Amino acid sequence: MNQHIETWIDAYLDGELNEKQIAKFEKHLETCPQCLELINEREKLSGLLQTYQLPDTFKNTEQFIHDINMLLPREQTRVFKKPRTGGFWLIGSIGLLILLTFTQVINLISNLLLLVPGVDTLVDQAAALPGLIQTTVPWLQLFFEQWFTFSGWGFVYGSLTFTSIALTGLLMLIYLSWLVLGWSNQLTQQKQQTFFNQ
Amino acid sequence: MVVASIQQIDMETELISRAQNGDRDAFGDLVSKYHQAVIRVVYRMCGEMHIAEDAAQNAFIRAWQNLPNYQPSASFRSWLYRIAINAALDMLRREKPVVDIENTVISQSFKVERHLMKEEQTQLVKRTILSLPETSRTVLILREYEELSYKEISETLDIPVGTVMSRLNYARKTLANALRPSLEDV
Repeated sequence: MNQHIETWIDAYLDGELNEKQIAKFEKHLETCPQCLELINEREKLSGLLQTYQLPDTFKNTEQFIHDINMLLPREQTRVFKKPRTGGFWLIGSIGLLILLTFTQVINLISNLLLLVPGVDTLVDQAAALPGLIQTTVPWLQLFFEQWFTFSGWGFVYGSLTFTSIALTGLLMLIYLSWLVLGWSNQLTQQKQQTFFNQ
Repeated sequence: MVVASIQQIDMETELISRAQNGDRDAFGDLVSKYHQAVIRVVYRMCGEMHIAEDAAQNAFIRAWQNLPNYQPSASFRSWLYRIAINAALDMLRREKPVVDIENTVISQSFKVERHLMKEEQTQLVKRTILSLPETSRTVLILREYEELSYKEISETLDIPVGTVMSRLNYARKTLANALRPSLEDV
């Protein structure tokens, strides 16, 4: 009898075989007296193991709870998420500042271009073409235009400087949120330090 | 029946959640629920009452300390059993009760001829179980005495089901060999 079948005997007696496996194993048992003998031995063993019972002299549960309560430490261990390092927050802040500067420069150049004689005509011609450039910063302008039109506040929109103001405000908001998150992260680190030093 | 079982699970979840937030009364209720189970496991792992009581105490203290890190996705009973088994093994390493399988077998065959008294037989079974390697002893105890399924044992000990099967098979084979004369007597 091989090891594979012997392991199956345990699984069979422990009710761990599925119906198909049980049928297959029972078919095997019909022709294998060795396995039958082993099953008999395993059943006797299981009965014999049950003689190893607990003594009655253990503390009762009430007494045990009372004793445990006296021993429980005041603090429980809390695992904190590993906080982000300073570099992560710095890179984010620098990235946002670069983006802010970039959009400002693009806006400035766009407005300067409008001062060049004859550009007005070009912009008007471009605006007349469906789906093409509407302003000097079209990607953002379109986005805000649709936004305001959809919400019924389309009349607010229209000034060329609106894009610049909205974009600057948006980026500043993101930048401030980022700073708040960084500050909150620093506070968490300080709390953890205090906790572990206790 | 099913409704009662769901209510019990809900109650336990509630107790765990409260205990995670430092509620000692809720933890006391959990201790009350699992005290006997933990004692059973640690006693059969150690075989000595005073070691088992200390191990159970350590297990519940560790459980209290680590409760905020317990993830409800895992079974609380499995989580607690794992802590209890580790606490028992730590205590055993410190105390080291001496059990010798060779002597167990010899004295056993000697005694079988004189019809073992029940207490002697219990002591023999106990010594033979304690002589098993820790890994297979743990699996055997969880299956034979706590009646955990292979899957539950696998989750408790964080080992594959195949390993549970092979360790259990090894434990039973070793026990059957060591206790054969007693088995013939049963």
